[in-house]
Amino acid sequence: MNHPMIVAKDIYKHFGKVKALDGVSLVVSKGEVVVIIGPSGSGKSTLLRCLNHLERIDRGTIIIDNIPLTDSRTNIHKVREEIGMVFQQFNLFPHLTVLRNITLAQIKVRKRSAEEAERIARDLLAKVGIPEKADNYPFQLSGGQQQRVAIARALAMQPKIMLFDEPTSALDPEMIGEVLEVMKTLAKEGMTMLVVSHEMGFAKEVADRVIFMDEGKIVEEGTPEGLFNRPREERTRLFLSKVLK
Amino acid sequence: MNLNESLLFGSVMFDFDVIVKNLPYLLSGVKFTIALAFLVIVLGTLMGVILGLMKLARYRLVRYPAGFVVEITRDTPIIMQMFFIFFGLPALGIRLNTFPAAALAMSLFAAGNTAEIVRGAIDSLPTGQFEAAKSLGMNYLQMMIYVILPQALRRMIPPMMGLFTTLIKDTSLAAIIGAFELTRAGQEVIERTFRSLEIYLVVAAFYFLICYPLSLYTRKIEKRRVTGF
Repeated sequence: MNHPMIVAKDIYKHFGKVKALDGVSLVVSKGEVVVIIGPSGSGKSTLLRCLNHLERIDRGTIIIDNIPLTDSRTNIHKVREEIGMVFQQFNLFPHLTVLRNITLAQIKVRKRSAEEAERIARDLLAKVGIPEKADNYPFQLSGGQQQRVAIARALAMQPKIMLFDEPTSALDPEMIGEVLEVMKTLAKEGMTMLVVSHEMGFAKEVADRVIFMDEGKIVEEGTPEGLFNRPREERTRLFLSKVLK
Repeated sequence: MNLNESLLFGSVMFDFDVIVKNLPYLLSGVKFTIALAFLVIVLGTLMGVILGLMKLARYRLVRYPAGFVVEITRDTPIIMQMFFIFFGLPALGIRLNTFPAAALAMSLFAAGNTAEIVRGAIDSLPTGQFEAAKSLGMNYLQMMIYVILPQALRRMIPPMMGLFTTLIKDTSLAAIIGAFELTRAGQEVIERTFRSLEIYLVVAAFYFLICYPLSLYTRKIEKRRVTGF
């Protein structure tokens, strides 16, 4: 085994009086797929956002691929290049075409040539199943298509880690499947993934580990099979009974 | 028209002649009005964009001074700002001629208002746009240039055009400190001819001719915004 991709040690984060993260520790190894579940306000999104420094933690350490985020000498932009993030609201750039959405950071941040960036973008669009949408603008796409473009945009940077923040929560039911399919493919290809999601089917099929969070803490974790069928904690049981019914 | 005629008919007739005769002088006023407005719009926009970005900075040391300038210029009458710069600053040893004093005062006023438009446009963008750009590894400059400003610019155009129209009209305030521009030119002609009605009508018509197309254009792009993204 080489070093873990993500090490979070005892991290704390509060918003005003609300403790969003209350001493969370987490280790994710290379190629591992971890799904985080929990009620809204449990801190799962905050945890994800702290890992690529969209939120600044109050206390604790985060080490991404052996680089300490909390070290002031660390260039956060460099670290973020290695961490792809997919948002609930897609957050595509509305003023740019699909192709340009995917090539922009490749060219400006990764310093690739326009031709190479475009080739990579077209390959990825084919991979997520919408090669014909390259020249469309985001508003011309359905939610599911937009989210697949967002995944392609993140993948184009060839990140070592992918973070998914409720990627299917804003989608109409008939579009959830197409996004989950792309994510499953990624998981099977060995991408290190941290997914905040309530898609239990997805978790059962591809997750190596499921984490249940509540009130800013990791309440319990285990294999999907173990956690869904034999939760140890009462809070986990209560939550699962609400979500699984 | 000789002196007798104008004494005879001056107070009763609408005197076209006085307009025709003084048109070149009024037109030279128009030139200065356009020059002043152009200067104010360019300087004001430049300073305003910088102030607006400063107001959004993470550091208080950057944010507070910008906020101070913006509030002062927005919350005091523009005429007081002009008086302060033209009549007040000489007490501190800074003496400006009428035209530069008016240009400076109005540019600051324009900058304060532009700053608020810039800040408002950027603030109105969804935070997700900033986060998506950051999560792709972009630094502040890249994020601003490629993601944020192109979107903010579209939202800024209608209010900016409105501000420009206001600024063009308000250049007439420069006449009060004696700067030569259209209104001042009109006043001088009236002092010589006593034809207030004719001359003020022509002066107003010139302002209208400059501003009305701008207003029309503003309305047009405001409509376009509704249909765009």
